[in-house]
Amino acid sequence: MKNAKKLIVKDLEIVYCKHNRSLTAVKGLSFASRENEFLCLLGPSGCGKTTALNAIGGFLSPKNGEILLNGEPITGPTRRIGIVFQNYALFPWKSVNDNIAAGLRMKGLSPYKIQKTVNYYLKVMQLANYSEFYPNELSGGMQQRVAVARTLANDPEIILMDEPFGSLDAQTRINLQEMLLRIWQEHKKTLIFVTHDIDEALLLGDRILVMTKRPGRIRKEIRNILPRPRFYELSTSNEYAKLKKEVIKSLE
Amino acid sequence: MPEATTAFNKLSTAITIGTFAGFFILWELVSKSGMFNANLFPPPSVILGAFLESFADGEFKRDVSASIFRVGMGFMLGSILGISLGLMTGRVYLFRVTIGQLLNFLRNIPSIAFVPLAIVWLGISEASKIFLVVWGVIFPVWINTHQGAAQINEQYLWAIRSLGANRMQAIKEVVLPSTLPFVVVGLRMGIALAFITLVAAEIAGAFYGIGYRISSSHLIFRVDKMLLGIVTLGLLGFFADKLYVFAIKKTLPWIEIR
Repeated sequence: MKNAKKLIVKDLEIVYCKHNRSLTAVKGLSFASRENEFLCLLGPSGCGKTTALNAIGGFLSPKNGEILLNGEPITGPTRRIGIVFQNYALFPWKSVNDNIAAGLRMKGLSPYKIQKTVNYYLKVMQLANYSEFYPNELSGGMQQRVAVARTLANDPEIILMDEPFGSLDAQTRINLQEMLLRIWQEHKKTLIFVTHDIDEALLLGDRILVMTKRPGRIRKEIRNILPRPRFYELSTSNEYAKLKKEVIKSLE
Repeated sequence: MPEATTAFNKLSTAITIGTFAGFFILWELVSKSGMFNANLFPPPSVILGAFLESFADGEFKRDVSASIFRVGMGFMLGSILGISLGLMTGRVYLFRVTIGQLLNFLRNIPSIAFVPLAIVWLGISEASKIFLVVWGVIFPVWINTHQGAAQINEQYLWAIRSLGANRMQAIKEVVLPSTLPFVVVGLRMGIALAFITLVAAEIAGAFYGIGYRISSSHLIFRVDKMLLGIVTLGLLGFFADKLYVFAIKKTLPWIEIR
């Protein structure tokens, strides 16, 4: 099952209606993501990559095309597909602990089991001392760590990430990227990661799908052969520079 | 940090108490200075005398407890109705265009305009007073709840759904708590409006109550008793608000209320 197609997006078209005008965000978008693969969708802002992700999450209904998870069409949001938003979308009325526990509680697990899982992710995401804090008491980087923990704790089959580190400062971003790499290395989740940052895609992804401008579709597929485990230092290597050139060329 | 906060809070309380003391001392001095007719503008010391007299014969207690009962009942009923209606019109299109528009029509009618009608319908009873207080409370609570429920951040709903929530769980986990900060504001306005309508209702017709006492003292020219009623209303409203803010801080620590 290593290379089984986990998620298939087929000929997707999504049209928005705003102010009495329709806008085609995505058209003819097709790609597949494999089991346990770290897939990056790379494209300029406004290219429809977030729209595509929201459709996969089941939040938007496409005008045309279909999205299949394990061969079954997605009809709406489901706990099988987890998502991390760019601006975290943490529940301000829940403490860090309760944000991370939210999905598990709705599943109706025993409090003991829930707390065990929550404690694990508090530790992994280095939040153990902040479990009683509320989101508005945390920095952006910490909030995003909570959001990642919230999604991971719910153990979805596939995780979507929408420019999760886009609004963080460079230092914090690198820390979180490396943290994400560590966790992914350990848990091997199927991940679809949207970004406009070439370096981020190179550091994280197994494959990089470069998107066109709006209406977005896949322009080029680049296999990221850089060795794992990866760390930020990787970005100084020659292989990295070569691959980066290839990506830049595909964006032109 | 907590120690500094405690010290700061103590300082704030001291300043507030000082401000009130200063206000009443200034009033006392101005009133006794002879600038105004002291019969029309009695000093706090005279009002304190009126309080002691009224307290001794049980009148004060009866008036205040009657008023608090009316405000409390009206506020509770008005809040429950206002919150329920707000959630309905804020979240459901059908309710927004039907009940919502009807409420927008009713909302602009001052509750005071209903005073004579309430007496015709319900007589000089507790029911007529409570009805008027409900009328005063329901609309600020409704419109704030409505606004809060209508503008819920869609991503919260998306997030909870993708964490596995069904419709009912989404309401419990996101819709209600997202609306709460708006409800908190609506209720705070509701408290003030409850007192306003209460007094209007009691002045128009009652056998006891703070508003009634102000109005009846007017007929026997007891300015001190009128002012006693007015100061009592101010203090009741002040402490009701303080109690409310305290309760919110204790129970909903994620809401910033000042």
